[in-house]
Amino acid sequence: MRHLNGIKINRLDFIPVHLGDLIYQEGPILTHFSSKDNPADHYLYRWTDSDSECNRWMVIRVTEKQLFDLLTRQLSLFHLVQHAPFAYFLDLDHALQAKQIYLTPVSEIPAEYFPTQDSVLEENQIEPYALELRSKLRYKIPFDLAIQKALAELLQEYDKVETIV
Amino acid sequence: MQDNRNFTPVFFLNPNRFLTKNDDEKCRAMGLSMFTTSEYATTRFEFLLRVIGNAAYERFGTHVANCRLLELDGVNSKPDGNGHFTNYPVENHEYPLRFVVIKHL
Repeated sequence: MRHLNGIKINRLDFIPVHLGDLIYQEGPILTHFSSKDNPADHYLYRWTDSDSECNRWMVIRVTEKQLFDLLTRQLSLFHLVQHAPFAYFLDLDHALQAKQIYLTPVSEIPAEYFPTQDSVLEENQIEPYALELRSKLRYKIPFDLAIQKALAELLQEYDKVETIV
Repeated sequence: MQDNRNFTPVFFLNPNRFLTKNDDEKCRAMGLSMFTTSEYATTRFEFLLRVIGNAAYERFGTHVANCRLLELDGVNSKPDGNGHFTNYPVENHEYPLRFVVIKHL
């Protein structure tokens, strides 16, 4: 596996909870996790490298909106990695025990570990879990926008009332 | 074509990797990933290449090969919308002799 620059740490700052695979091909390629203590926190684990002992996973934290935008092809995986403040790299053995954990600034991530700029998640290439997740997020995020719009309209009405008075 | 990894299901390449996996994942890993057409195989590979970069060559290979599968070659899952299916070959299959490279990825 490639040498990584970064700070070696003993553990992640969250307890990962596996939610589902977004891309799967002879094993998981891109997987969605949350945090046990903060279920609203989202993490993407992207398979990056391997040797005979371990698989290396790049882990980035994403917002719900970023996740939705990724699943609706408005953002690429490249964009998410490039705009993350840092990434964790987890070397997991076959019993899923972490052998090494690095905290690496994005500027130190080897170029080979980046997705390509056009790494959008095409609808027909992602797992059923990804489609379900997109539907769930679609309900949540547009609902928030709908509330914002309704509030804006209410405020406009309030302004009119004030003017009449 | 003679590389041992070409026609060995990922489960048997490294069974330890599946110690913590559920039965469904183990079952999928005991078959060979195949596509109904070279176009489907290429499209899938190109997608994976965009997601994981050049590591895709190391993990999945560098060529597309084809072969006409017969009923007595084993059992196949139903192809999905991307032409992907899992082939569970019979013992002592002769895939390395029968598959022919048709494309460099």
